[in-house]
Amino acid sequence: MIDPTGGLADLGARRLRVPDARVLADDPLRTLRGVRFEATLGLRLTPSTARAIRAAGPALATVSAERVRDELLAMLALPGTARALRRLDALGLLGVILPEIEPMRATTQPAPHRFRVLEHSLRAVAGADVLLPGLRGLRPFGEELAAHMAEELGGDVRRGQILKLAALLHDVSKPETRRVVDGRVRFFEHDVIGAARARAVGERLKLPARARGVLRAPRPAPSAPHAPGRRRR
Amino acid sequence: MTRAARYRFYRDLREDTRDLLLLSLVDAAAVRGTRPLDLAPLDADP
Repeated sequence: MIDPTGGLADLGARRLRVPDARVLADDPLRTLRGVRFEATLGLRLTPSTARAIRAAGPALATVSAERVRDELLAMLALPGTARALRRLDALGLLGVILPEIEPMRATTQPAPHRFRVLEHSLRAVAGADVLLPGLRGLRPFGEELAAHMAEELGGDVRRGQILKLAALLHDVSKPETRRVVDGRVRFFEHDVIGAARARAVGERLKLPARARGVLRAPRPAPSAPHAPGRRRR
Repeated sequence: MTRAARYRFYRDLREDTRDLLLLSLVDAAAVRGTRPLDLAPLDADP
């Protein structure tokens, strides 16, 4: 076997390495693919590859929406989507494919919230990672909920994948709606505006129509059913 | 927010009810960083 780039040694060490950063410039989608391979194959990006991905990341904006969509959907199908999204964010890629998340990073929220909006949203995705595989165990509607989440919405997109995307975007308009009124932080109409922002993301990514229909409604409940006494935000 | 009001909210979502229930669950858990199923069992109420 001819192995001029040392691929066998890398595989043995569970390393993911680009032998030349130009392969990322040739096709910036490979930056996303690298993160997915890391998440699915148990590999680890080498530091030089991580730096190359970070440098090539902005060029992702030139890649077709359909190709970006397919990689993002593949990550939304992982059991550890939140971890993959955090890796994307650490490499500067998440804000390129979803620029809407950038203002969420610094936006604070009042108690009982403990986290800024982006951190909160990534934790919501992590919650979906935990919740979805365990739905069948929930009585009495677990089987129905599991079947509902497994439903195909077109283009081999499952409802559960879109729920995770909705979890990431459910507070997307909080930064633009944040106001301090009488000393209280308020987010008036963030649910309505957020639904419009999420719909725009779905259209930009060319998600199937039914998937966009699910995504357009990331309206948080006025008070979550399992958090009695929680105030309307 | 009364239980009846919560019921009406989710009932009126119609086809979106199940999605919004699950989204609300992960949202509420992420407020404090708990796991969604640690909030309360879904079948706690009759």
